[in-house]
Amino acid sequence: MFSFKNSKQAKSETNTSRFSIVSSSGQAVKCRKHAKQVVSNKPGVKNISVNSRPGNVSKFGAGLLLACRRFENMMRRSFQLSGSYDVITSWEDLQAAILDSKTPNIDASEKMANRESAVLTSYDTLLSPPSATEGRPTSVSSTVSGSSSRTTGTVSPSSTPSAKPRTARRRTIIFGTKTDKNKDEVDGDQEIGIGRFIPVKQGNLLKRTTNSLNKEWKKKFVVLNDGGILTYYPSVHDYIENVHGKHIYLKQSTVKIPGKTPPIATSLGRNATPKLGSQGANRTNSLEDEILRNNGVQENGSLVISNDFLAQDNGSEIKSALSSTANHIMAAATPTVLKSKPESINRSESIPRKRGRNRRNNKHTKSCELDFSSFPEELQKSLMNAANGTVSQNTQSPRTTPATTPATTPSDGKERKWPTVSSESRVETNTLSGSLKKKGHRRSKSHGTTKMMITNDTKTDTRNGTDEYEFKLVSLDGKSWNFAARSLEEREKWVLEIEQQILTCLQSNFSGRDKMNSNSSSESDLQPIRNVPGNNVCADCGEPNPDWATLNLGALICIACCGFHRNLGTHVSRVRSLDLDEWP
Amino acid sequence: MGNTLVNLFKRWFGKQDIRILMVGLDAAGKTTILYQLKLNEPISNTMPTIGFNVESVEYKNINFTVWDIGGQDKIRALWRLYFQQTEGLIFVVDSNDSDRIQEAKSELFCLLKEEELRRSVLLVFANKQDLPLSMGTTQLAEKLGLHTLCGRKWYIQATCATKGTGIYEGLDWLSKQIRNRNY
Repeated sequence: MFSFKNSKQAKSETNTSRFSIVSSSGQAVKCRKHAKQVVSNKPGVKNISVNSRPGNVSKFGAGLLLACRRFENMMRRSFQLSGSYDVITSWEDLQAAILDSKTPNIDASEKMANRESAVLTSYDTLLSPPSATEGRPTSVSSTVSGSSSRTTGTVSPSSTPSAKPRTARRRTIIFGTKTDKNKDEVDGDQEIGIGRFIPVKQGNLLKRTTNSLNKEWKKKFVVLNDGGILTYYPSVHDYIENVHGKHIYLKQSTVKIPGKTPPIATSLGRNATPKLGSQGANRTNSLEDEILRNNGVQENGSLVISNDFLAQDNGSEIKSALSSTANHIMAAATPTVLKSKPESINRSESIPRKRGRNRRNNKHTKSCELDFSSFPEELQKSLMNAANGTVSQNTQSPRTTPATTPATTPSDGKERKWPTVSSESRVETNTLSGSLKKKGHRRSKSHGTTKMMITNDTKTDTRNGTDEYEFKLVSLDGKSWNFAARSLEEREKWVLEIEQQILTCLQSNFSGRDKMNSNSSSESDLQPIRNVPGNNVCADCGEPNPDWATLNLGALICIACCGFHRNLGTHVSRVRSLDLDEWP
Repeated sequence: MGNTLVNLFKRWFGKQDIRILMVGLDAAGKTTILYQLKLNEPISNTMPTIGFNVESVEYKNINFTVWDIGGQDKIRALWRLYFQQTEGLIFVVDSNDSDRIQEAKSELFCLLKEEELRRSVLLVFANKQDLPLSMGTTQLAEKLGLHTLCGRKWYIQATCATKGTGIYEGLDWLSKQIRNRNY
């Protein structure tokens, strides 16, 4: 049997600890890890030996060699890192030693010592002084000291002269031989083969228990696996050892961000898009952007700005304008601005189609600011016009109350860069929190678009001085887990990944109908639909790879636009999911 | 006597936790109703629910935990996982969608067959009453075959989730039923 042992019976006074590889092939990886841990934790390790028991000769072979090889590599790395050592012996020496131990004609001294093992040692003579128990000189080469008794295994290095073996050990033929290379390849293959699935995402998150009194955040190592299972471990080491993990099955869970209502938040942002068409929406967005930048709005400063905005003379009108659909505002505003500043319009239209994806162009921003800084009155006027215009245009939308405002702002999960939204929703928030007595803040948060969430978050964060960005997993049996990320981006990434996993889990689900008629559709049946020219993008907003279809209009749309279509009613558009619905 | 007093006390001051399951075909308006209840303001254009949403809503001293589960075919298969300890079942129907009434009916009857839902009361929301082709509650009740249900309390309520009308009336009925049953 081989196993990697950190035999701590090493003499403590000499500050040496000793590692023995007594390994079997199956244990190789584990050994390595273990050793790595110990070695890296203990830079003072001086004495490494490879023990092989003669009694178990038959079990020697690839397993031991492999283990030794890994050990060697690992030691080399760690010692080079710690800078104190040049390690071990040559590979050939090791092999020789093993062979040596197998042969019946063993060294007399070894016999005498009743040794059970051949020991390869490398040690720092300075740190391993001669010990009293082992006065016997080794008979083997400088690098291989082939003697040690079971009990005094730690002692063998002490007998070797200090200077001589050291110089000998410095030669590094070990790592350059042909056999080594072969071994390395084998190693590499096995390392890939052994172990677990590569997780979709992993990292440290903070976790808080929901029911106990201790509400402190604790650091956990969280791993998101491909099968829709989220596992958290107390620490990274536990993950490596694969112990103490707790599983959350995402198929039966949902992810919530406190204060945010996911499906609405996203759709709210997209609200007006399909009505206007992508062209209009583009213009709208870019204009909004420009207007906001004109006011010097930065992402975090949007709150202030919005208030300033409102505080101006025409505040009330602008407020009303803001609180009616943003698109309409912009549509109305466009002509005005067009007259006054044609080039700004051009620029805005040059902004790529996919709204809010990638367009923080600094140069862009600057020029916008320049353009608009001299025309604040004009802008306000246009906004006012827009406000007047909205009332009439608004009738076509089913929403009647201004409370729905943020619904209209063009943002989705990814478009958190739009300051406009936050400013608008800020307005909303104020009114809301006024009206809600209990949990006002929470609720106002929960009302919002993603955008608003952010604003509120940043606000609370600055106020409370906390860095946690919470999210919550709720399972169908009512259990919940609170997690927190260190940064907003990190949380977004986690939430996105988790939602994606939930979706894929559900997609792989079978519906009841599926069982009944086994000839129902599969992914391959739907592929022709996706392949139809034009179906690679959302018919409304141009988002790639749409997963939803409107049956009567015969087009593929994205999930956000799907929200709008559903809102119109089935007499206008019938929407089905390509993945989640059964297709006849 | 003492028991009555305790019950009265509970009734006035105690809070009840009620687990409500809200299901229905896709695009019936479940999520909109949920957030209408939660946020108390009209919303629209919710995206399709992938998985489920859950919110707790306090109304008339009852704490409703409403589970809103997606209505897509593949998610429907998961509905049964949520049945445990469900005291109230809300079934949302798109009254504008006459083509899929039969589908809704079959789903509903599948649900009601479940043993775990045997004790729960049924509230049907005839949603989307604002749309032009919507059917009235009597017509819907007939089409859904609600009258054929025996041994179950049911109630159909016309709603318009985007405006928020009718939802609280339905909840009123629900809370009344739950009170009556418990005391």
